Amino acid sequence: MHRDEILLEVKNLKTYFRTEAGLGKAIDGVDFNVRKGEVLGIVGESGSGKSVTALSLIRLIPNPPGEIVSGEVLFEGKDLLKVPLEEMYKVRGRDIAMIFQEPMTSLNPVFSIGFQVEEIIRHHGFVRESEVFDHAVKMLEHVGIPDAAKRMKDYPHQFSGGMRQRVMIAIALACDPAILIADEPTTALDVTIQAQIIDLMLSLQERRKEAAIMIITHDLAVIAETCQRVIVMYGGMIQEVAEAEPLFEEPLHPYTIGLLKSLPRPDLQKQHRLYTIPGTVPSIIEFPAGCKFSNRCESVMPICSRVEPKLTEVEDGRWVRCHLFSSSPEEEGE
Amino acid sequence: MMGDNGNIIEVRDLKVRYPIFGGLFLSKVAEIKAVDGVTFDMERGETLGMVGESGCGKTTIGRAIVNILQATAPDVVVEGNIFLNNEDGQVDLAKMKRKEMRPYRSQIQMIFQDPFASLNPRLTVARIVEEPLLIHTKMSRTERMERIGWLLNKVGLSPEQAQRYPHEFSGGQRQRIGIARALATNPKVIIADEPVSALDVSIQAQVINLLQDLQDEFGLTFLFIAHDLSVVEHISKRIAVMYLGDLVELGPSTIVYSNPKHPYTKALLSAVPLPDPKGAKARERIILKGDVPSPLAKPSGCGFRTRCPIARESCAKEVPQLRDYGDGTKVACPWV
Repeated sequence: MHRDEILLEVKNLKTYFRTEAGLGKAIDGVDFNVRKGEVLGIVGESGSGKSVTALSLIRLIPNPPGEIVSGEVLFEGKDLLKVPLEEMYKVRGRDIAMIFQEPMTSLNPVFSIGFQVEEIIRHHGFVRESEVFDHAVKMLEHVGIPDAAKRMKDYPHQFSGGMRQRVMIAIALACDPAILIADEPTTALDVTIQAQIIDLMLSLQERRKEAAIMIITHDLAVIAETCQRVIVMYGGMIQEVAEAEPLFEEPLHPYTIGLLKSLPRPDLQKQHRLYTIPGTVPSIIEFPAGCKFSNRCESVMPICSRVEPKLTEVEDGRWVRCHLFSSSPEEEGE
Repeated sequence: MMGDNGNIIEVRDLKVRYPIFGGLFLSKVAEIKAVDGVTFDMERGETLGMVGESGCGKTTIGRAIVNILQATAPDVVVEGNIFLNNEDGQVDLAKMKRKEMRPYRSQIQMIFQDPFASLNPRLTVARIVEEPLLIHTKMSRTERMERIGWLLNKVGLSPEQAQRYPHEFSGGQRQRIGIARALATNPKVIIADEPVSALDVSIQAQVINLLQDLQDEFGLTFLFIAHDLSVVEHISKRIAVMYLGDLVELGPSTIVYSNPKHPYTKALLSAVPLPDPKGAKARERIILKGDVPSPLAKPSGCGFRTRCPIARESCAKEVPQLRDYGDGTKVACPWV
């Protein structure tokens, strides 16, 4: 892959949370790239670190208790973790925009919808002052708000959940960002609305061809429908990286295998009992030593509880963190 | 008469309306028709899946069957019948007062969506599971403790965990506690309202399997309410599809899923994401326009006509009735 295809590079990112119960390593050494024009999925269960990864990229980790303890986030030649906060204000919304899960709570209830869409356009000076209103209306129309000009004066409580999520997307897309990060964008929405919202997010790439979209979700089906490349997270670490088709056809990491097998698949053969991954996801301060998945893994080996496996490239563009795929697991163990 | 038709619950023309009061003298200004004339049966030992989007009335139906609507909305108006067929014959639960309902509550229990909100944080697990036994049985303390241990064992928890508090458990374990509580009184019918929606994928499968095992062991009848269509299809023998207070399609799940008839069912099923990137590309999705209308402003005639791809003029006038399609399904659309 050429260097100039890379839009954003994340290196050895670690974000820890200091709690009374102990140090929670929410993410513990995450490395990945976001490529131009791709739709990248990050999938994982609660506590996997997927949301913390997204929030760390734009430095929205609440501190205290959270802290980005190490790593680099390289974007346009700069390390976003090192630039002054004032510069971060310019990056957020203009270069990297984010859509959050809760359409009910991520809009400010005391400001009109119009004000909130205009705010970001004005903040970044994206269009001339005289055009701000028209651009805001255009964005609301783009996301399918009927009577957009009239509804600019309305307040969030006058909108349904699906409509609010559309407004969030209008705000996120207002400045044609280079990267759109969507954290569980469809989880709170109904099925028929989900499909509309995903299509709207993907419409960013019609407006800006090289823009990348990162979708963070626990829903493997949403990933399968939208993403070209997928990162599977567990225990604050990347466990597998692959193109979507091979990942769903032949998952390699035992965790990915388990996740896919435990989904009800009525479109395939109807089975009476579902496969289950034994145990539950531990809290972030209780993950086992060695491989984070070792206490739930069916293919566990003695080495797994001692040595953390490395993320290894097993095929071109396909990475797995598992001793089954390490070149010489025994040596590593010594 | 009991048992001969095999139905344990028969819902007939159920209507649930919530009046809205406002204005200077708090007069009735509007009415939400949450459920607008719904008829269906639940066969003994089956799982009936109920799907639909928010505001379609699926939760209201579940709560009407366990007769707890009044607890949160004292002004609610319930019309129609909800027949329970038990050993002593048929009773109509729909209009029962609190006291009249009491002897039947032990037969119909509920599992709630949110395992974090549906357990009292100040009570131990033993106390939570004991509560229905205190109310509905005359068991002695020793008998109750024995029963609690047995129940926790059944749902995959250890009896030693009985003295702990809900916050010490994960989401999946809390849902197991909720299931143990529902099972305490040996119910015949369980209304499960989104029982796995709040759980992680790997935990979801464990709870679904548990529910199926318990059904096999105790011959339970489930009303399984959920918005996740893959889960509903997996667990249900028959499926009821709701839209804006109306039942639009009802039939065996294999037929409804492989050959949906109602335009809403078609759109709903085509919108379900599948964990299969290749299949996703090959599939044709029907993306409906707009949002579900507010139940306050329900369209005249067919409730779905404002978003329906095959709507005609006459759809605004007549409310379509559920009719037999011939293959075991019932559909409320005259054009299919």
